[in-house]
Amino acid sequence: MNQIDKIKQYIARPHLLVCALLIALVSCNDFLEKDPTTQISSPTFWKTQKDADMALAGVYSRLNVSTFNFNGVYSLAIMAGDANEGAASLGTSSTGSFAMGMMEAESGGLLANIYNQCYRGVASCNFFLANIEKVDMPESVRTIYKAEVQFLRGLFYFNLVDFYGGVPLYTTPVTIEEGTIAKSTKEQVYAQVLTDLDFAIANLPNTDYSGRGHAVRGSALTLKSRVMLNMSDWPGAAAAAKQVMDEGKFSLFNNYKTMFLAVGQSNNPEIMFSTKYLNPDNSSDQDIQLIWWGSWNPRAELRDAFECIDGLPIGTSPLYSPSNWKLNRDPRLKENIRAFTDPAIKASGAVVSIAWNAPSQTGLSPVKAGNVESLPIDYSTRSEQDWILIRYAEVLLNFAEATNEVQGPIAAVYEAINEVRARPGVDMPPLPAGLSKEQMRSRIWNERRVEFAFEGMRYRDIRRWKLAETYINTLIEPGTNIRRVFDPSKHYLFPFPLSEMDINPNLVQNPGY
Amino acid sequence: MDRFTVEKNQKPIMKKIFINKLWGKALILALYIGIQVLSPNLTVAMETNKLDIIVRGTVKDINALPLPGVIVVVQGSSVGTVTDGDGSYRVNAPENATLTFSFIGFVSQSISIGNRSVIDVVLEEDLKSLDEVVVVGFGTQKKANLTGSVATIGSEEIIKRPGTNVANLLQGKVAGLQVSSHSGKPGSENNTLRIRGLGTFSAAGSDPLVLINGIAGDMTTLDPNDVESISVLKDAASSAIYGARAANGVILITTKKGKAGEMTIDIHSNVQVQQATRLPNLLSNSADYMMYWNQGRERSGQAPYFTQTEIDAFRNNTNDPINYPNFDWIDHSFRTAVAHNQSINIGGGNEKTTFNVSLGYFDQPGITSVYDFKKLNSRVVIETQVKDWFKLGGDIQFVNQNIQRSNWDNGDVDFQVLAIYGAAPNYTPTRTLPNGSQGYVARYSSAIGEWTVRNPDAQNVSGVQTDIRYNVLPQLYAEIKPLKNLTWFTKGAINYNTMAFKNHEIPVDNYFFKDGSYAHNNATWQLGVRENWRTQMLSTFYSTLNYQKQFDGIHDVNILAGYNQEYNLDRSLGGTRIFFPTNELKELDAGAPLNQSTSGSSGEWAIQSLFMRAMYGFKGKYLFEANARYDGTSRIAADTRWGLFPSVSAGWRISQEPFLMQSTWMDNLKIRASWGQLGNQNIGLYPYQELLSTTSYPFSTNFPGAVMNRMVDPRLRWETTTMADIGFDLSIKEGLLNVTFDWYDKVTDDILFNIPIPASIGMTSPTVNFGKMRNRGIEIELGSTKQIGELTYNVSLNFSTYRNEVMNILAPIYGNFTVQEGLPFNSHFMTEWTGIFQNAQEIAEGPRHPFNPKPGDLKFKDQNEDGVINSLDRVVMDGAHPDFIYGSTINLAWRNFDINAFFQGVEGIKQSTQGLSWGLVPYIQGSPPPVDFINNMWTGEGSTNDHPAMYISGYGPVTGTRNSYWLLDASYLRLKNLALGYNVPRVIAQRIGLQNARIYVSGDNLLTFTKWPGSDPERAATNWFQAYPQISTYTMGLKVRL
Repeated sequence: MNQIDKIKQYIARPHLLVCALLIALVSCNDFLEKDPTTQISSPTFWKTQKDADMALAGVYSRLNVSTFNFNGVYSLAIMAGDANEGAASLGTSSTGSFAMGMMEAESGGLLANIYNQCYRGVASCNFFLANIEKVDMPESVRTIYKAEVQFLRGLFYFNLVDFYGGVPLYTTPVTIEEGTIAKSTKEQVYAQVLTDLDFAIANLPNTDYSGRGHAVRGSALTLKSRVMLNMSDWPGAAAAAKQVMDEGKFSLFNNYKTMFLAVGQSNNPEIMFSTKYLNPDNSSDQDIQLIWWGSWNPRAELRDAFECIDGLPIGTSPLYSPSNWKLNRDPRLKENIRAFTDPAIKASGAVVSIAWNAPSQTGLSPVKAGNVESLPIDYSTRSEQDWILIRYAEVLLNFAEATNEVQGPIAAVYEAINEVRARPGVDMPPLPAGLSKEQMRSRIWNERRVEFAFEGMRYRDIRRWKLAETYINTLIEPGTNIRRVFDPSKHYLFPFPLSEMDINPNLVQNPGY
Repeated sequence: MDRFTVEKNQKPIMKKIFINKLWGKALILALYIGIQVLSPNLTVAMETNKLDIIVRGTVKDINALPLPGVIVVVQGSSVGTVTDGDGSYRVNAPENATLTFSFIGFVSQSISIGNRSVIDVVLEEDLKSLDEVVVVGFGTQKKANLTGSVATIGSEEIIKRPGTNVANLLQGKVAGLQVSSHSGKPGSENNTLRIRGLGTFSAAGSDPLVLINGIAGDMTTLDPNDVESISVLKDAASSAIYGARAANGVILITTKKGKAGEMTIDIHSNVQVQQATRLPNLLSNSADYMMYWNQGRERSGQAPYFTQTEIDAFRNNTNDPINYPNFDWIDHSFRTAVAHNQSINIGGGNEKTTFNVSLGYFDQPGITSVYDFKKLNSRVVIETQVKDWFKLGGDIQFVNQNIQRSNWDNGDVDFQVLAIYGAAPNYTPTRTLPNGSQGYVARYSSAIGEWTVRNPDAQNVSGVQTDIRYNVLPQLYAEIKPLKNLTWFTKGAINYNTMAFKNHEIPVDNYFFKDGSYAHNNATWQLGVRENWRTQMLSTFYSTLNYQKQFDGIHDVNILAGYNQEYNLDRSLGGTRIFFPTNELKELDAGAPLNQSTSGSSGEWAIQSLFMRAMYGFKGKYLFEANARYDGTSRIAADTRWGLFPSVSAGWRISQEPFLMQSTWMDNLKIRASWGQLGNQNIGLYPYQELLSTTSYPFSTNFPGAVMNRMVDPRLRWETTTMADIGFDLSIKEGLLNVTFDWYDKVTDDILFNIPIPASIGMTSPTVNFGKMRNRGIEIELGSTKQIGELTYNVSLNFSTYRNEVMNILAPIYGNFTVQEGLPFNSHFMTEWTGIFQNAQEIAEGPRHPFNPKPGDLKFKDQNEDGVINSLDRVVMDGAHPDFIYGSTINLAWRNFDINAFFQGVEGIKQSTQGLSWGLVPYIQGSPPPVDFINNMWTGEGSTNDHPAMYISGYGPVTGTRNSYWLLDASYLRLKNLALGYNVPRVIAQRIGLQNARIYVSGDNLLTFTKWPGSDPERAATNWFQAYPQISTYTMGLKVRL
């Protein structure tokens, strides 16, 4: 190799390097531009109606959480004194300890879940409402979508105000800086709930619900009547319920049992709003928890609240047999409660034993919404029962309760409550005529307790009726002499979670915590 | 099928032969050692037969100064002497023998006596120790010229302990490097490495960058026998060349290359006997167990589980262990395991081409359950000088790890160990069923509601979790020298990993102990098969240009510039099937499609960098260095993704100054100082992008949905660490004392952190540039090496301490841990526990406690004296960071024996154990209480203030409020290793056909001093108390060179 060649090489090699570097740097932008592969980039979203559809489904998907399914709702039955926690419990965040009065800001569990899950829902609603105007879509469709989302926001805020009282109120997406505001008053939150519901009532389609899965006008009206009961606005509650009754889109279903199981839920005229599940992608562990783990043990007090088939309470009915509590009872009892040792009977008639994972502390086990067809159950069992949040029986009982408060036990009150009692398959006799307003009130209260057993209504009701401290403090834990505790100076509201108090210095803790 | 059977059978046989041969040789060696130990004068006597001349002379250095203390040995014997004060010696030696003159710090010389009787020797100073070359970023450097803080560990030091996880072996070896091993689980030790403390509190942020031959990799996959050296780059000056990835320090691992010359074959083989280091002592008396459980339940307002008759039956029938057992599950479940490790390394080559091939195999059964680990390593290294200006080389690493775990093992949670701690003494693993067969026992009876603790034995037959990993790391490089002083080096590499994770679970019928009735089918998570496959590919390319020249013997110049790019792609694919026709079939295809599910994902990142380094040395005394790196990452938005990370450093070798050159005692003194900035890019893949997660909602059919889950701050900037370091290296009197000292100040700013936001915002927290934190500390390494007669000792001690302080943050964080300005990061934050309520009056008169306590419950301090114990009474507790960490190595060598002791410790760290602590909290899922608790619990007024009265898990007055009763001291000092080795004299080794041979016995984790109760303090870094125990290992090993 001669000198010149060598020199050439020396020159060429660094050149190569420089070229390599240049090529690499020029392609910088592409090389470093990496986008997520399993998520959608927000700036490119909110263009077409398809985007709006997806965003709407996203908001609805916030219902697939414990606050809006069997899990959190059954837990409320423990709080209400209708059930005890099953033996599965491990820690201080268990609902069983709350029911003993051990509710503290640091407790977590149910006390934090409702707060966190409702606000996740609120944020999704606000995000939707803030962006939906960007989408190119028919105005009529847009309005319905907005109405659905406002209905959901109303539902989320109603749960917040019901359990926590006044809470921070947001109706638009929040920045970090805006995230540490003081709470609004209870009245302000209720006002917001009604604003959202009124918009929904005005703009949602007036059709049946079942089979669509989207909120309809009846859903919003019924929720409004529930909200107004909470506010003791009896005429308002009665009017909203009456409107649903008059419009006639809903009616009682003829099977109290299958209404809570997937098999009875399609085109069901009674269901007015629910958290939807569908196998295999959107499933819950409802059957696992209800008829395997035994996470909830019904208490005898609830069992005893069911009347005998003659329409009399067990204390006065001659049909009641203390040695066999199942005999001659309101047919709804066996659809809610079984003895722990009772086998399950499948539709085929096959009798199968339930391999309970834990004994019942009360000797009773829950029935409602548990699908015995899925037995034997293990961890691969998926449940697809929709969890009913609003149904027509509530419309009738809301109407009865509110009307009784305003006008006393007029015929319309009797009609409404008797309609619920006379559901095909339940066929309980009508209430005796001539009840006083107070007598009617207590019959309505009991009717709500048994009709809506384990549906989360009772805990809301006994606080609304200011019955909680007088009732819960009388309860004694089975096998012990320990009394349950409901301290009226604090327990009417949950504490704000400690983590929330730590982050938001402007949030004032509820009294007593 | 036949072919497979044959192969399957061959493997163990071959292994056996392999081992037998080795151990046969070991036996021969052992005989020789025995002879030598029993008759130390035997060899001397044999040699003295030929003694006929006396040789004498003086030994001087090149300056003609006499050298006292030089060792003079007649080669191949143990005859020898030491030079006296004027350097003269006198020795008896046979004719034609060879004398070896050796002295620390000087090059040894061997001189054949011939027929001479006077031999004067001039020994040359051995500059090697100072000329020792250290691996640094993108090159090597003379240790003497280092201006940064770099610690190095050589191959011999690494394999002194018999472990196979390089991260474990680094523990306690380097000042400033803290290695915590989370458990002794085979193949899943899950070490945490921290260089100079917790550098940041970013989500993924404090792990050092580990480079294997320059390529990012996982050091736990390496075979320690392959390691040539490890450099730990601690300060900004040494690591700034890695810029955006170096904020937490860098660990450079170099593997062995072949050497020109005769081919060498090294074989290292050992057998390890392993046991649990520490296990908790839990109550194993059934009657007591049942009685205390009733007591605890009563305290919680729950009905008793056991009748007095039942309890009495256990108490009175101690001679009927079938029906009334007092079963010790811990004793039953842990065993002694035998592991072994084999490695062979073949190296050689000629002046142009060298190669090195190695193969390693490690087999470690677990000390409990179905745990098992097998690792196969192989590596091929080749390098060739194609032309005198062109060198090509490459290596390829292949690693296969087969990890087997209990099928409900779940990372740090260790459910299998939880099940062992949670099993009760009043039942046995199996019992005879009413039909006469044997069945697994679920628990004592159906009346007991603890439902998730499984019978550990039933769990063992319910299937396993396998985790099979392959790593292939090929790299190819070219080194071109276009000019004499210019080197152009280019390397490309692929680090390819596949991980196949599989759970196979089958039903196992379980029965109640009391009556043999059916309990459950043992399903824990999900029956059937769950599989997840993941591949990860990191491709790296870098190229450097290095100019190095010495001008006039005075000016040393070394300039390096380079380009680096990396791209990483992760993909995963998973599938689940539940229903299988038989328990033997365990591949997905065999299962039914009903309720099957699939999953899949991917993620990618890329980084591009330009970097340079300039070094200048003047007369080898004044040293300067500057580094800069310009990094761009895909993880930050285009506007802010590029960052510049500079560093400067300087060193002054005072010992080279004329006024110290003549010093007879000071060999080296260098003062170093450095400053620099580093980045941290481990911040999640797409933290700045506003993303919608996909979901679905079944209106009537399943409908796709999109939700916003996470807040985002698109203005993210680089997290930057600024570090200053001042240090010195001192060495005195040929190794009598070596000191390395460093002081550093490390400030991390713009720390990227998921700031806690109110839940009312309704989204998860965004990553933001949150705050600033400082670690300030010192590191000291002391060493001393000396030879006294035939005894050589080498003692070293490393000590490091740092103080962590949060300097400023957007907003303080209060939770179980608190982040506040002026405090160490994540300080323990809890209610202060002051004792035990002794009586009702004390409760009535004291501040109001949450959860309505009773006498015997925990008493807390009302810090703000407002009469109520609540969140306002939480205070900061110390112990979030260790006060100091330390390690010490003592090596003694006498003749051919050496002994090596290694201590390691952590002082001043505390860990909260509150929560789900099986083995500590009484009756959590039925877990027996610790004996220590039973002996010291409150039993009535005035009994104790140490432990509360018997309670059960979930009891609010004890477990409801986070408090310091649960804050335990996790400090420890551990004798990590004690090893005794014997180097077979070369002459003997050669007689059995070996170049050299060494046998050793060694013990790991032999002694532990700690206050931590129950399980192991070393694993305290997670919130779970129960853990797969650390392992004590007793090893016998053999190393030979053929």
